[in-house]
Amino acid sequence: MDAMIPITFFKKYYFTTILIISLLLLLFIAYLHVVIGVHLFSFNDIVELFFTKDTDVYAIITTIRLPRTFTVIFAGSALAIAGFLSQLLTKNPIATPQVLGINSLVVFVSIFIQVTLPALSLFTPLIAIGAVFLFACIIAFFHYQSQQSMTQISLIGIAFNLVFASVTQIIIMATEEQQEQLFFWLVGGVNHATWSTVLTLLPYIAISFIIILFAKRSIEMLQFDEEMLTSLGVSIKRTQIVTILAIALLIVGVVSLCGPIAFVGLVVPHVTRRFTPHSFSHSLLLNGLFGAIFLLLADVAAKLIFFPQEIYVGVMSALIGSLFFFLILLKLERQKL
Amino acid sequence: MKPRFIIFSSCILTLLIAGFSLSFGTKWIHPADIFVALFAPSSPDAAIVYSFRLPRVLIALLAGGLLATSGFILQAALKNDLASPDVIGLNKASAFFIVILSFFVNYPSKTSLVSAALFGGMVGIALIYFVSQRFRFSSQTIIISGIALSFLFDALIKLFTFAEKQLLMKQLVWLTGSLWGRYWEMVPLLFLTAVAFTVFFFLTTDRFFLLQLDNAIIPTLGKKTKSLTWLYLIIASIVTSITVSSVGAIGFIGLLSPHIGKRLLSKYTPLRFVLIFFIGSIILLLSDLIGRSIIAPVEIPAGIIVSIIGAPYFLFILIAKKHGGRI
Repeated sequence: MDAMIPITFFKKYYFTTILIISLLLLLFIAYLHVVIGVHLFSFNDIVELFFTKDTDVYAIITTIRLPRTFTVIFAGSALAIAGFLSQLLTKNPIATPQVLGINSLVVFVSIFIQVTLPALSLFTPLIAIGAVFLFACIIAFFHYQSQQSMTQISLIGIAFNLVFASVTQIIIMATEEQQEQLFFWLVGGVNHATWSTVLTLLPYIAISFIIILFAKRSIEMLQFDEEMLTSLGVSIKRTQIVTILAIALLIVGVVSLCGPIAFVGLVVPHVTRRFTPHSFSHSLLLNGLFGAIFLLLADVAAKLIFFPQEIYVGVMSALIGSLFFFLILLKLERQKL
Repeated sequence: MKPRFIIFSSCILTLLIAGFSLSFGTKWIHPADIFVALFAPSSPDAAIVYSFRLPRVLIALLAGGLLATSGFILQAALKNDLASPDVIGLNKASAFFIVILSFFVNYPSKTSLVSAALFGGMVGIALIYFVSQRFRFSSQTIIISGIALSFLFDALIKLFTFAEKQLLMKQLVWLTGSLWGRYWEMVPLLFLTAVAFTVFFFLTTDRFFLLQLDNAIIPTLGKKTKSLTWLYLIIASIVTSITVSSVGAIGFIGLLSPHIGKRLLSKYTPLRFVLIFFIGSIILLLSDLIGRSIIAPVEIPAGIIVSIIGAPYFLFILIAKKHGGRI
């Protein structure tokens, strides 16, 4: 009997345990992320920050390291949640914004406006959100018209990705041959993040969170079969539109500031699903946390792999993510057999 | 229309576009002068034509054709109209090993470039073989794992190009596939490959025809096609690798040209091979022409133009389900 107590305790507080563990993990990796860089700081350096504020270390940490860490945390959780929501929306385990080509669409829109219509650059986010919305409707149209299989969805996504990425490349080449910029807009990075990046990113995330919180109950419905919902008298058209809006906000926010960082939204929800099979709000929370942890790890790797030279986090997340993608696809294939 | 007529007219069209590509450039050379320059090396424009334009046009012609025909072979071997060297990741695998080579060696020789590309293609095929052995041998598995592989190799390419910032722009342009700065050195190899590939194809047309048959029929004829499939896969990967090592990882040609070819010549004849070769040449020649004229003097890599033309067509195929509902 006595041996059962820890197990029941664990079952009862299962989610709390996981939450605490992942929060601690997040804190630890965030600490590593702050400390690691061209200059490696020791624990004592960090402790000293609380007492002396006029050192170089303080300046570096507060103006360079911390904004980057916060950007990575916010971007990671936003991308993961966007991926989770779009998997829920499409009921397709690989139909995430990046696979469908939405990330590169946002890049294309921002570059296009920046180059051809600089007067409109204030409205870039709005236009980008509109474009994503339109694009999502087109995809949804094809999706409903002919139930597309996973392979087809990913092939369609690849094709759209290529079109947008190619046009972006042409625009950048036509204006100036800045290889840094080209690469940034192809892979995405956080190397130049400042506090203003964090402050610009926050409203997008905040608004979409408010939307998600208000529509939580109906978004939760999306996991059920559409025919069943219709037979119950529930219309999910409006919910779908609201969800697309939330996804668009998250993606536009992250991609217009950090570039098209790949694979976070694809990989993280798959990992999260192992821990929280049912509850929607639990999975939302865990997706946010795991997304932040994933991207922090990727950025730490990006800082270390060619030390002291730092590469863009998009390269690392693509590398880790594509390996994961491979495994996920194989698993899905095996289930089919 | 008769097959011979279609092939003849595609050949004429290819030659016309090639001729126009020769005339077009920073300096417009009248087609008549091109003609003179080709036969009289002492004429005023002969230097430009011989050392810059002619090799470039020849490379576009050969590389486009080779990519197209290797896609044709691959589609038949995998019995899937959506397969092509770039979709299943062979292009990226070759390109990745070329990047690795130029990461460690400063000025890699032509031979080492080609062997790196070949090695990459073989690694790609081996990985796909490994995956398809672990599962049931289905062409869909091969395509899905190929897509994932090309993502993986793409990320690896970015990793290594990023590490070497000086090479960054050059590599990036090169990897999307460009004909800029390609001179005579690549022509003989491509030409030999094209000849060898064509001869091989026409010597084995009866076996190739077997591959076109339905999977259910083949055993009733007392034949097995599994080793034949892999033979054609390997041949396609060799041809692709050699092409990638000279023009970069140009996508879509291997996917689209067989499609267009099958539409034009709906009844199977071995002559389709020739038609598809010419279609590939036309696509690459046109893309190169557009790429270097659209915002001249800046040159846009032909690979980018191919994607912009090719991706919408590809989407059309996917959405219209013109591929017999497979996948």
